Amino acid sequence: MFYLRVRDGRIVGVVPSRSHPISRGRLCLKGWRSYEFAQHPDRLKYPLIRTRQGLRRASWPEALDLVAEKLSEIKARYGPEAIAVFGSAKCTNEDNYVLVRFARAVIGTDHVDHCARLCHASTVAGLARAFGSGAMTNSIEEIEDTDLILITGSNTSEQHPVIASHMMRALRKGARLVVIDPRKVPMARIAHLYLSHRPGTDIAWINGMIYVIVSEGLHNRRFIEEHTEGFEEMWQVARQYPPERVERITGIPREKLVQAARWYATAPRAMIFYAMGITQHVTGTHNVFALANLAMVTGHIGRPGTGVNPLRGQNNVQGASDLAVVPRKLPGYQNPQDPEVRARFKAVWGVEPPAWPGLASTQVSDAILEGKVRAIYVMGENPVRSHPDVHHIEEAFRRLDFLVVHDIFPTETTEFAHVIFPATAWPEKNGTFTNTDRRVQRVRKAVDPPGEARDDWWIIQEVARRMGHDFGFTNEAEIFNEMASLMPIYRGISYERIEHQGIPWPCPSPEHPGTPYLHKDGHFNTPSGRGRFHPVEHVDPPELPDEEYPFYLTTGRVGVHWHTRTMTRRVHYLEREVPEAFVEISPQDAARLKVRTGDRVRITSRRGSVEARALVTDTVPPGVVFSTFHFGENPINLLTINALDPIALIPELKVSAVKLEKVAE
Amino acid sequence: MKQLRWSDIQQLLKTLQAEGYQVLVPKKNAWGDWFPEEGIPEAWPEDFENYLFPFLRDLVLPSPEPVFEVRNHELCEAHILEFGKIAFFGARACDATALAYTDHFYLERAVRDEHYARRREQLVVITVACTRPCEASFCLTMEAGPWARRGFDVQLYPRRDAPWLAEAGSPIGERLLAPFADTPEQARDQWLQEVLPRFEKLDRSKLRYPLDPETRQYLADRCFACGGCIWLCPTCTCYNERTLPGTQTVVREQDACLLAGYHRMAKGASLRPTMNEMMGFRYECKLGIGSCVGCGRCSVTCIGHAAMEAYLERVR
Amino acid sequence: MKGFVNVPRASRILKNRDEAPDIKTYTLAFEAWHEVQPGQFMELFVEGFWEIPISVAAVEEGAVLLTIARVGKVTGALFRHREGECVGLRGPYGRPWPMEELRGRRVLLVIGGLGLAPVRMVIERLAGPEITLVYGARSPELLLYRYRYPEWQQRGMQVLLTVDRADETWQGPVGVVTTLLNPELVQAHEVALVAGPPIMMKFATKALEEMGLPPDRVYVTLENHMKCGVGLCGHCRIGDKYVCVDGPVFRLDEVRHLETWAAGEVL
Repeated sequence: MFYLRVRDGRIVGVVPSRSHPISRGRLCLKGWRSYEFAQHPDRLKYPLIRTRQGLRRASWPEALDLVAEKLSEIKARYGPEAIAVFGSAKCTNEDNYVLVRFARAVIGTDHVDHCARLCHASTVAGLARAFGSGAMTNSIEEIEDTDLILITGSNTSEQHPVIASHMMRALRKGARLVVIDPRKVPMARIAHLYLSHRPGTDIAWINGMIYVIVSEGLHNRRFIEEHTEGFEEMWQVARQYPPERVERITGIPREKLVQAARWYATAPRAMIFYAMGITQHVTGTHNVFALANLAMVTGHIGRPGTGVNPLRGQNNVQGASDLAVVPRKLPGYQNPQDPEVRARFKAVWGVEPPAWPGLASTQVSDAILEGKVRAIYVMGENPVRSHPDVHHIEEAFRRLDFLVVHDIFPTETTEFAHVIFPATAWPEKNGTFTNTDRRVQRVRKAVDPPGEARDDWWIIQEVARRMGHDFGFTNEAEIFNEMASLMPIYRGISYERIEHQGIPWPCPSPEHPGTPYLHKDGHFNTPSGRGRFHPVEHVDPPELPDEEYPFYLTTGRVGVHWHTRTMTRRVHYLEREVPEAFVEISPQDAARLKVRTGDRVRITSRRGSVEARALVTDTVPPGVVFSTFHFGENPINLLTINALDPIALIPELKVSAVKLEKVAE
Repeated sequence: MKQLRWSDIQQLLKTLQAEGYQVLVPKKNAWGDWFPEEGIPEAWPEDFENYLFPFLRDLVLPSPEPVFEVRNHELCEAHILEFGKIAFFGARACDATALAYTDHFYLERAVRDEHYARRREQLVVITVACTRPCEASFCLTMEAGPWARRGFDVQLYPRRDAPWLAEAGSPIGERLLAPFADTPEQARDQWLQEVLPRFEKLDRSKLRYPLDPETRQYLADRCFACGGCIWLCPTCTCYNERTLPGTQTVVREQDACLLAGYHRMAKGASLRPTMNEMMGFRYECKLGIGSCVGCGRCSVTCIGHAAMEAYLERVR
Repeated sequence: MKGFVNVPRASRILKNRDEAPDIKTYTLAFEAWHEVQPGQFMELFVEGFWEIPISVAAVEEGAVLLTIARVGKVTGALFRHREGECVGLRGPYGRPWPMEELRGRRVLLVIGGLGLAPVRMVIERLAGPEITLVYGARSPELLLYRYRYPEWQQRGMQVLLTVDRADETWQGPVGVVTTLLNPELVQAHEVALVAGPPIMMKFATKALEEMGLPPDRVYVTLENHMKCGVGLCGHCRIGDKYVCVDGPVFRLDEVRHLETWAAGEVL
């Protein structure tokens, strides 16, 4: 949390809030500097309409009319299922709620999604089935007082620095840190124990830890008996993962695995943190199941300082998920099949939401190419660069009859758009964001938007009005009140209550204080009230290195950039830190390839080829290379495989096979 | 030495207002964070420790600061950012000491920076000496607190149930204090005797550069490169210059030596490619050159464990 | 120094001359041209960007000559400027070569690549039998100011050249500049000036010492990383020295102990 400093209508800096319970005067470099993008001259300032000659400036009424007309036409001709809607985890809850209402009530489509599909869809699916709730189980404030922190598949200090700062305080109070990750990320360098496993072998090491814990009698029998179900079936699988076998699959030395298991099981309180290293796999949901199993075996859940904590990436990805910017759900994780729920939404929306199951964003490309989806309405996302297999998605977007995009900058996606609406950025917005630990908090407008840019919710409401639905919202508080009335987990929250401090959901009534940690005393939100074990087996990733493509390519992010860099490339100090695409190569592989830091290398997979600068570092083990998808000019997602987790429909972005060549300059 | 009742202090501030000064005083907002705001306080805010953000530095070294503008692709016209006459009431000793350091750096060392000078000339600093240490501070060790030795116009020593003591640190201060009652110099010794035992005084010789290699790597491993220690440091003066995108305005803005980009040159080569080297560079400045005033802000804002507090833990 | 030390004056590009691929010498109008001392540098501003330090290669009536390689954003933008257009200039800055000490002494210049620019004024003033230039570049076309060598040689200065990579026109020695050094040559001189890329300076200064020239008789110029030019912005600091005001010319024993006084080319 921070304050923006404004001088003559321009933001000139930030002041961190020392009183905020989470940030406590601490910010990451993005927090300190990213305000700068909001006043960049490249901001979209006027509505744009594509003509044969290219994009031309349009008035708001003209652009809104055109969108309403086109969408109505497509809906009438092909039905609502021919239109998909993408929301945004950068926008406010209010923006997303209005978008969801627009999609489900005005258009009548359930093809609603946002880029959480690409990061934590497997979390939502996995934790919802295991625990009954797909979010961080605990609050960030509890971290300082835990006894053991297990981080896996998360570069926490770069991607969640403020959370890492709480971990650092815990370490100073004597907590142990265990990091399990193919890459020796900065937190691994200061860990008490660091385990490096082969990419895509998470289930094996997690089952291995469960094997050690149960066979050494370190499991929490009472917790398992009283609060869970399915332990036996799970154990029948996990017992086949003795440390020797785990070592063969993962490369983790058996004694280290045993040590990690013992430490985790015997710590009075232990917290698991994970991110995309767990979720962005074809086994993403199973990986999440496995972590849930591990926590339940030891009873490290339902108490302060314990739990399974997915670290979510975007400022409001939790909120966008809560608001059901995903198919097959209604706001508040409610079931669109439930007649009672449907009736409640109809009472407010005037129409029933669609009952048919919509497509995930990762399925939309195929649906376009099959002629089933003809138009997409995108609010603040850049799917053309963030999705895997770039060639495929570009091909699909080119075929669209109609594409509407709201954004604050031109992106690779706006290049395909028929109408572009200029939207507001966060320093210009009022509303709420829901933090990764479920804390609903306020954001307040500090400066005016550039040109004619307008709030996302206003734009959508205007389109909806032209399509015959008048939402009638005049400010963000009205939107919040409507959405809270429809969502039991938000119901007790109001702007007045969060004026000074956020409240973590569930907060069912105005008197309820909010819920810092979920599943108190082992009471899970599942139908049976028990935590559900899921037996999960290790399976090899869909593509493994071979003779022709001998390296594992694993992808991720760097601390200073954000996604496809539409914002961070416009912040001087962020862009200066990492100005171009790079690929991390181990010193051993670099020596063999005769590559030095700074050399240009070509990375090639079965799907494509990109160039990047070599960064020789022991962060990656031999046989593994790492790169990021930040650089639209060198799109690493040309290389990644178009393979999906069958449950969560999240793509496999963490494992593909590549070869490397040095490029002469 | 003078002594002033609170009403005298209010009178002093009113005098400044009458002379055209904007009087800035510490004010806590609804969220519990402190900002300098215009006004004359009814009473001294007892719970005020210090601003997290170094607002005093910001009044002389604002960032970004427009320095010149290009006109017609030819003329480079000086641009001066000024805030007018400001009386900064309630400055802490560490920040006043830091101001004395930046004064020397920007006015007397290599050149006289006219941009800095213009703002500095219009600034009156009234420090209130501290009666208890703030989180992670070690100002007594650095001889920058709890009272200021330099960098102030007027310094006040708060006393419970007695008029505050006051001393002048400049001709302006002398003039402002002239109307008020004298008190013997010993009064301050008494004040010090009472207050100083609450402050830790470390062996200064332990705080020195170069760091031992192990400590340096320890800190480097725990730095997550947010720049917070620098953005909040009252003596961090490094800046970078660039044209603001989409304008013809050239600004200088604070730069941070723990960022890799700070050390990289045009071709991409870096003078200090590792965090270890960057960490050395920073500590060399803070302890070797000796700009650190022990305010503790870097430790409060550090997201890793690489700031002065971590260093002191290692050498204590 | 008075006035706004951060504000450049507009300066017209009077001439630009191709020196080598991606290297040009710009003649820029500058009133105080006569104040420039050999080894000093100017801050050059290009519209839309920021300032960069460039050492003065030569002066002429009303102008300074700056030799500039296209390496980054600012120089890239500069190379798109034409004669008659304006840039910003301020300076001259920095501690010059110790001309008093050099006059009348036997001076050895050990120079690599672009390092010839900051010593060119020294040569123009002192060229004679007591001066030897040992100069290396990556390839023959990158040897700067070849059009000046005949005059320098005529005045009695010895010019020894080498290149890292020869082409078909090259008859001379091949190898890095230190391969031209030998104890006899080094000891025949009283003072040495070294300028060039950091890695070359590291090797050259080491060779000079080994061949008998003590560090207090070797001068180097450190150009790397100055930004403001007036000792304020902090970027050029090494140890307690600010290269832009305490240098760029240093006697080797003043800086040799400092970390990164001449860091190699590492990304």
